[in-house]
Amino acid sequence: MVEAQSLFQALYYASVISLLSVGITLSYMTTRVFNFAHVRFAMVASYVAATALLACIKAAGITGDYEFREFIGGTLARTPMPFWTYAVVMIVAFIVGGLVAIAQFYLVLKPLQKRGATGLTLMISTLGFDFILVALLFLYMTMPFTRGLAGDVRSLIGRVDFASLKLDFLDVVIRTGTFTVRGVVVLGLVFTVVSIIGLYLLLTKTKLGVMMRSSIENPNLALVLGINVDRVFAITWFIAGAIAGLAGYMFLFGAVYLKPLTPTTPSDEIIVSVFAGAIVGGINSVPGSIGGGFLIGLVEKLFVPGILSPLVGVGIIKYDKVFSMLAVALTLLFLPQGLASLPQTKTFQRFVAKIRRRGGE
Amino acid sequence: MAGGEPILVLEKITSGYGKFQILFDIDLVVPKGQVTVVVGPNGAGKTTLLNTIFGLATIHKGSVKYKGQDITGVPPYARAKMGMAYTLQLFNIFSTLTVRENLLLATYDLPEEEARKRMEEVFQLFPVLKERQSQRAGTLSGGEREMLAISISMLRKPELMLLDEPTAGLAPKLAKEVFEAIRQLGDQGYTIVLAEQNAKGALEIGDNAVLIAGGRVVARGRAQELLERKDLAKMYLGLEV
Repeated sequence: MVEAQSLFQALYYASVISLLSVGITLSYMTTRVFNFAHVRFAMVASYVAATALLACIKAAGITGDYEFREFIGGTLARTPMPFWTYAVVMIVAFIVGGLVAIAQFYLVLKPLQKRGATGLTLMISTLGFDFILVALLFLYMTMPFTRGLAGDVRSLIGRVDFASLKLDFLDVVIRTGTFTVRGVVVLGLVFTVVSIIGLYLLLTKTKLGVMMRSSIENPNLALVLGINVDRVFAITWFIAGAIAGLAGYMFLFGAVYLKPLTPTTPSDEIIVSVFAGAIVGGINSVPGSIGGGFLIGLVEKLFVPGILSPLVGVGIIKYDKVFSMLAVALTLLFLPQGLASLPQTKTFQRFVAKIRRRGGE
Repeated sequence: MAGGEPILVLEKITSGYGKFQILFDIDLVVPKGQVTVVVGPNGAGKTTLLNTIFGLATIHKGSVKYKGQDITGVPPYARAKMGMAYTLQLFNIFSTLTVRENLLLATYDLPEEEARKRMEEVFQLFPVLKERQSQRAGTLSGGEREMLAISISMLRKPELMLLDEPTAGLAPKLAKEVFEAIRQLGDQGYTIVLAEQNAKGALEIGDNAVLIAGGRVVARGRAQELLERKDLAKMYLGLEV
């Protein structure tokens, strides 16, 4: 039996992987490049959002608890900060994630593409951009402004250190009777569902979405019809980065589930899982990558520790990423276009037809 | 070159893709309201010439002037907004999009009322597209795909149409109908640049013609005159003399 806390950890982790996998897919679909810097967008968003959060705390002189009983009905939600601070910080993370992605698109990828760079060159350039972001983050956390801000906030509420951010004590705690859940777990699920619905509506119901799909399928024809393909791709990158920014927002309050925030963690630990999610779900499918990311997250944090470890011993938990890699290998071998292409396979169609026949009998 | 006022002028164009040069020192004048045919053997650079006109190729030397304005450095999407349309030879529809979405894309920058009006005109011309509006374009038959591709260009009501081998892969009877349709468009006042492998069919309906081979202009003049030149017909166009 999986404990509630383990389930929450798995849901949190799966949401993070899912939100990041979809960005890998969006950037791959537009530029045909695997972006190794993508997960770092979330880190940059985290650090800037942390600054915004601490600035809010300092500005408001926050010391006590706030309750949202009226806001969400009978359920009690207790938080150390007023609701608006969370909303402001979330918007900051969303925008910063998007802006970093646009910076990479215009400052690194477009100039290289104009010079006729190959796919391999572009891929390696994303690794270079990633290193630059790490270096900038190390610089950022030692800047007088951020250190000063952390010091001021420490005097107000204690426990703030920019070298290793651990702000989970600022998370909302939701309590219904004896049942307690952290706000960041609920938020992760909300972000994932909103991303699925939002991207679906954007891609199928809006003019911009149709332009995005057309530019991805056939950039030359889109250009011929007067669509500024570069701008459409830049918007797509912004969306990918902004969704990564939401994952970065979740990092802020997730130290209890992942590692405390530093310029290299937790991104370096999860990047493998994020790519696995995008590939298993379908590197050319937006809904597929969201589902794939969620699936990989659940395999690593629910299936391995909750189901496999009681059978083979707790030592297996250290090797949870092996199962993600195994999933990638099996996908590439048997379903190269990922789970999203499953409905198009003959085996699946035969299976559905069989079930329908049985239903008709 | 005979004809009216020039709408498009290429001067000493050397172009290709990236560092590779395919066309050399090309001069071309396209008169308004006429059908200009570009013929030549396989690999002569016909498609590259159209790509150069539309900004999809790299220009190494020379200039492109459209309605008197130098558009050499203007990006393709901006050329489309200036009244140019280009029907590509291959991949000329969005196969993962529905028929309606394909048509909507062609009118996305028009006021809603105008877009609806133009779409109705297309549906009157090709009623089958109206029936298949919600169908994925990739599931259309070959003929229906061509109708959709032509509709996409027509919806933009272009001042200059570039057509790249519209009869490629079509049965002779269907190819003849397409040539007749292009001639009709020319008679209605459309300015067309038609690149064609089927030299005879194209020269018969064209007003002016340019013959290119090895990336250079070999001959130019009235289309009928080129068709009658036996030396060119045999050497470059594979026609029986």
